[in-house]
Amino acid sequence: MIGFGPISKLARSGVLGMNSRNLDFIAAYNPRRFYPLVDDKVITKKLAIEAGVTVPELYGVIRYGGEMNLLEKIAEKHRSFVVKPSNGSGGGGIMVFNGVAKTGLRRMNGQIMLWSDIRYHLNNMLSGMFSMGDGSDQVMVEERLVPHSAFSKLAFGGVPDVRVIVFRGIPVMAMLRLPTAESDGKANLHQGGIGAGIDLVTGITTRGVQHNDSVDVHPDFETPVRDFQVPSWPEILDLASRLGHHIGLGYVGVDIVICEHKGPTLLELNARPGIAIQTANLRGLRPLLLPIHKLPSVPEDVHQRIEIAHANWNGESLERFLAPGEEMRRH
Amino acid sequence: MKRTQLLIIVGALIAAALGIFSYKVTRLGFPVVPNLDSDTWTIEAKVSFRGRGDPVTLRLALPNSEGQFTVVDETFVASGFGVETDTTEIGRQAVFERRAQDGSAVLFYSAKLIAVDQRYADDARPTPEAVSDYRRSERRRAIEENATPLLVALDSILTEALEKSAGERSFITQLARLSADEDEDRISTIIEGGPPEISNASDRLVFLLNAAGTPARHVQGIILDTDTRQAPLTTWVEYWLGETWVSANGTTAEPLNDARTLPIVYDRQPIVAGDGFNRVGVSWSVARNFESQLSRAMERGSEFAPWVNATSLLSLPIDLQLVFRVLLLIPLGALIIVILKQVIGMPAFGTFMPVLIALAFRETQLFTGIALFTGIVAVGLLLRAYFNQLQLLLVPRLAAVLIIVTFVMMFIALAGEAMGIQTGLSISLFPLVIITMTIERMSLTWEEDGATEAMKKALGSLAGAIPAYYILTSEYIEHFAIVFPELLLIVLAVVLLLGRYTGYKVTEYYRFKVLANAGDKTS
Repeated sequence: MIGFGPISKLARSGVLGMNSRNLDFIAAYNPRRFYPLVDDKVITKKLAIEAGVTVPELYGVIRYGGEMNLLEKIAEKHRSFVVKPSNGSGGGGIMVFNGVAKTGLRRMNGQIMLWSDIRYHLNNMLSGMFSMGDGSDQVMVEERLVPHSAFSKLAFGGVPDVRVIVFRGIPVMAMLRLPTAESDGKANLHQGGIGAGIDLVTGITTRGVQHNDSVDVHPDFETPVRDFQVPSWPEILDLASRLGHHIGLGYVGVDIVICEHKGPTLLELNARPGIAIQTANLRGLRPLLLPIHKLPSVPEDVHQRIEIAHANWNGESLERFLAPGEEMRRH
Repeated sequence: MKRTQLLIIVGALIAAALGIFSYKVTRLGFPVVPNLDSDTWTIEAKVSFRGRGDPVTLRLALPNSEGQFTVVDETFVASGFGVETDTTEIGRQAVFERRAQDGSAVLFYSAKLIAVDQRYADDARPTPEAVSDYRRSERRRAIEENATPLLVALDSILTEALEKSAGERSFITQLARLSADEDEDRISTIIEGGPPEISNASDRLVFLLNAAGTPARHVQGIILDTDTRQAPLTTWVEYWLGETWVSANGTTAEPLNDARTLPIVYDRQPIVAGDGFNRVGVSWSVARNFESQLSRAMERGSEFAPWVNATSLLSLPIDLQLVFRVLLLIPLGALIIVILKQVIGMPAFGTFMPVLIALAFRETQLFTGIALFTGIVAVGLLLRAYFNQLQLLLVPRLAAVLIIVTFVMMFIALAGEAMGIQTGLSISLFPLVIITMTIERMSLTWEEDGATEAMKKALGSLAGAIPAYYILTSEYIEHFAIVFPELLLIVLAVVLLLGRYTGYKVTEYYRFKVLANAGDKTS
């Protein structure tokens, strides 16, 4: 891509732009008919279980306003749980509760949310206010994941997660997303969460960004966000690779929470993962995606795929992973 | 593969567009820029009357194609009435009939007038004859038999005018000058002795001219001047001079601009006649069309290439044309959106929101539009926040905001009227729904992504709406779109090409500046 000064500089750095992501990768590798598999989190959960991936336990699904008492029963039984719209996007509408009071449910920040407010919120979720597409939605009630203790000084008021971009079943790039006071406990970069780039081979964070600016320490704890070893890193890559391969989508974002009790657990899949991950890693996605795009086939074995992922991250040629008689694709 | 297919389609579209365009411009002479001083007009007559429950026959005098204009595209709107046109010796008329009409009724007539190029006008018209009982030979004989004061005065006036003049034209001017002076003895004698209507200056001039042997007639018609809702019916005279009828001022006989006079009835024939009704009123309106070169091109087109006219939007009725004037601009608005979104990367609410906002501005003008939009959206946002506290469901809440926005618009219109400020707020469904949708989207973004993001998107939407507004209101672009709709194929081609654009957006450069600069250091 040849352009005038600044644009050609961007091209040389290998940045994947939104247009190219949409056309060259999403349109080319993600058949539209598979979208419901990731957009509907209930289906995603089933698929993940098929692929042998750990998922949060599903306590129940609320489909109509009349099923609201189901929530009360679940609250009695489990006390701690998450409520989310099944077709939600970008974390909209998600509510986390960790206790039951007479008047309502206790939220993570200790406040009691009144039953009437909860009912209103659920109704909004059911009418599709937080959902992709239009029309109604269903509400999932599932297990609340407890973040790994390694994150106690890195995540403020919420659950951190790891986003892995998986291309043709091969992990390509990853980042750790840390909630802050500013992001209201949400691990969302849009709202002021921190994104930390991760060395794909070692699982050690390389740098952090908040609002597109480089940050060295977590603003709420003053703990460094770089050189942090993400726990269970090999298992995370394994999970991402396995699921990405199984799901039928070539280009997918896998969001994983490292649970204190269950280890790496799938949070959700994203068929249109954002491109901000490049800033967190200070590395363009293009040079990482193209070699994999040129592979004529991808091995069925998850370990081989992770080997490819390591070699790819280190910038090594992927020639040695070709099966006998295979040649790299031209385009 | 996909790429070659696309390039072939794009090439074909552009070639077709340019081909048709250049054929229309070079061969048929379609004007590339709107012609701002030309001679095509649209006139409309509105006839209102009350029926008495009896059968109604209403005759409305119509302009004819004999003079400076060719009358085309005549339409009648008269629900319940039978309509036919009828040409008699007193002129062309539309005859509206109904078996019984009780209560008030309104009939409409509209027509397009195309100025006839006089070079090609039909010259073979018979010279009319001056109609008068007082022509020179008869006058002389009458005076010898019975010298009435009228005949003597008439003869004296005509002789004086003839003596003072050096030709036909100056004779007429002299006669008019003499005729205008009502205090003069001879003129007052003529007024007393002549037919009753000649107390009126223009009728008197016609009477005198005919008596002098110059064919002349009294005209009622419309002076085509500027666009006006209420074009008054005007009176003037026509006299025959040098093989043609000349329109002239009824008092001074000064010639009028023929390209601006539209005769409707001659010799005091009624504009409306018939029976079965009362309280009849006729109002005329005139609008100038800037398309005369165009109509000529169309005429030429009908000879050489009938398909051009058959596919031309100008063959549609005016009201439909007006609709397409707006509709055809939407592709351009869509192009702007594609460029803003794919190439520039402007954040905005929804995909086509900026174009819709621009369309709303088209009805309110830009600055009032922006002010109103901001004001109404702000009020709407506050109310929406309050409704949220009341814990209403999504769709009823949206409906409530819609209703409130209606009231706010009503209030603004009333307040503006009371303070005498022209708000330009043409109440239409369009801005209303657009504003409500904007409010809902904006408040959702506000809740989910914070105020900054919401403001950014709101500004983005407005910033997109402004260039879209200028495109949607440009006279030149409108002209292009309606005269050369084939050029929209080029817009389609560009949009298709941009559909395969995988380059960066301008905003991405700022977003990934760090990476671009990091690439500098390592390389």
